[in-house]
Amino acid sequence: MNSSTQLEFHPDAESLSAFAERALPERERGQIVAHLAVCSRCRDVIFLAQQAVMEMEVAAAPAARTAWRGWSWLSGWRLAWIPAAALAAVVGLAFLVHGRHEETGTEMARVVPQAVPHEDGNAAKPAAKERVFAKKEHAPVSNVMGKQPEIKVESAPVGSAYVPLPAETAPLPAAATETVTVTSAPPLMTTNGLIGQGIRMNEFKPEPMLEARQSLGASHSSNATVVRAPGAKMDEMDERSQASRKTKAKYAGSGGVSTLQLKNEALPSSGFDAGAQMPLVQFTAAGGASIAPLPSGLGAVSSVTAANCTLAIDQAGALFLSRDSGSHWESVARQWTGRAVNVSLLPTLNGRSFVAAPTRGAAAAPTAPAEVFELRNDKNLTWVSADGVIWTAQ
Amino acid sequence: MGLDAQLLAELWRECEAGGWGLDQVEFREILISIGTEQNFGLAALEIASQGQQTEFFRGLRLGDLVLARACAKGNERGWERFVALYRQTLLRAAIAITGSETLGSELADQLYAELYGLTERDGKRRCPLESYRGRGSLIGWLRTTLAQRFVDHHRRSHREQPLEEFDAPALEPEKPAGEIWALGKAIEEALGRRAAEERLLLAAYYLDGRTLLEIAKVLGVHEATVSRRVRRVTDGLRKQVLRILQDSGLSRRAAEEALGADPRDLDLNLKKLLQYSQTDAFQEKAAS
Repeated sequence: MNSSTQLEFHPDAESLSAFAERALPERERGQIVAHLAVCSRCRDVIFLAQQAVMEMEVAAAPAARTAWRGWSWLSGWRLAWIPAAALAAVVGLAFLVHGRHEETGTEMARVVPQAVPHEDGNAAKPAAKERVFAKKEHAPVSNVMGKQPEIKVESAPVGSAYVPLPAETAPLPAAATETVTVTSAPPLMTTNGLIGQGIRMNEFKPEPMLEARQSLGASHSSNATVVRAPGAKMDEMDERSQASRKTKAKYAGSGGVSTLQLKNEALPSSGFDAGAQMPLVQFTAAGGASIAPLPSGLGAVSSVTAANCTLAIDQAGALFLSRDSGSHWESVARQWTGRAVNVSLLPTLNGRSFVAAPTRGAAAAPTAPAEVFELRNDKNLTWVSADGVIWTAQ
Repeated sequence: MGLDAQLLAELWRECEAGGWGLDQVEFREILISIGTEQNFGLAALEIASQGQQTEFFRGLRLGDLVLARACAKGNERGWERFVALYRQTLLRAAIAITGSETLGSELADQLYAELYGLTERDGKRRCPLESYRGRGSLIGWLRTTLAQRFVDHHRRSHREQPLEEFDAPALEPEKPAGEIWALGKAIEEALGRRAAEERLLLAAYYLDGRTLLEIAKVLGVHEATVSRRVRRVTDGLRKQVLRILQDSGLSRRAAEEALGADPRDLDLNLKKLLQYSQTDAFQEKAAS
């Protein structure tokens, strides 16, 4: 109706629209309702217009729903982010810890044949074909038959499992090759002992019987595996490897005792070759039996000796320093956080490597005096010291 | 009628009429024309006070109004704005109304051409936007206009087709003619006594077959409210018809028999009566 007061005419579009939008005054609204009650045409108009509104709302809804669906999908996974984030954190931490181990632990220990034959002379016997590989890595074979082993601890770049030997450790004739490779990162421990982080013992000559002893309180394990050469008598090595596997489960993942006193001894032949006196490379942690009881009365969990300076950590995490090979100890003031669990020698200092010579003989003195001690706490944080007294956080 | 200059300036500034090429004089003429035509929303013989006039003007959608008037004047910038705002909306509404993309596009194009003023009457360019007075939204007006065009076109093109409801026999031959006549009169009288909104409910629900949701949207109430109202109106109507029948001399039993034991019979009769009442009451003068 062009005039809203005349019901005989249809309401115009604006009146119907305003009615649907409830924009009309009550009086006019009543007139429209009265008209709609009897006029199917205007009812059709107003319901169709309203239907268009509804359909456009419905059409607009999926777009909004689609836009929201992304969040919905995300929110559906929202709870899943929590374990995922935790897993990522754990993996990141593992990489961090592993990276630290690799950084500081890529040392390589070698048994280099000496020109002087072994004392009992039995060492010159042909070696049994045994190889001990750590992580199934094959070490280059060197021939050290009939020579005193020289054990060198060298620093190596991260990831370089096998560093070419210097000229003085050139491979010997292959006939008596016996290679013992023990690689561990995280720290390696052989049968009873612990070899420092990533230390790899390579090329034992001749017929080395590897025995690493640990007198430390911490329990560690080794990833070392023993691979036998065919025909070798491996009873003893079996026992050792089994023991190693047992300790593997105990590995706690933290840094272990690193620096070792490497001894080359002759043991009664109970191993590879009946009746033969085999040279024994005995890895003994400095804090082991050779270390006098610490002032705290607790056992040492980690120790290191370098340049007449011995450092030991007791089970309570206290650090002690001895300048007379463990006869007298003095307590080192605590300059680190957490509980000290490991003390070791840094493999490098300013890019230089140092070699820890065997403790016996004239060659016992380090060939490079750049010893830097490293202390690691239970949170894998490290401190370094040149004298064992003043420690600086790394 | 005078329009306060301060109010005029304020409204003119608020709706940015100047941006659409409408100066205050033109704007004032538009407002006065709308107010006079609608008597400021009051009854025909009432005289609006200054406050009522101000309230009326402030109740208008002046933004839409000045845009529509600018387009009606042929303001290019206004048309750019109109096209940007309503062209696609108009098309979607037309498709929704017709239920067909082809018909919808055709309907929208036709209205769009009409809005653009391509049609002339008496040698004068006419734009339907001139009839928009700002009482509802412009998009609502456009939708309703589209619906009007579609319904009118449908009615014109389907006028000669028989309707099944009209072909079906409205009366049951076995019933006595007197009772049927009395029932018809009673229902017609009962419907006449119902309020307009109740009759709208019954017509929309029973006659047009609209859903409760559709009715609720139009009336601006909840769907459940419509359902309760329909039930209440039906029950009340039935009681009222019985009372009217009894008042006309029938016994209660005879009145119930006339009404029919089955309530669905009452529904059918109600539909027919509403349909007849519509055709009897109004002359359809299509706006077009």
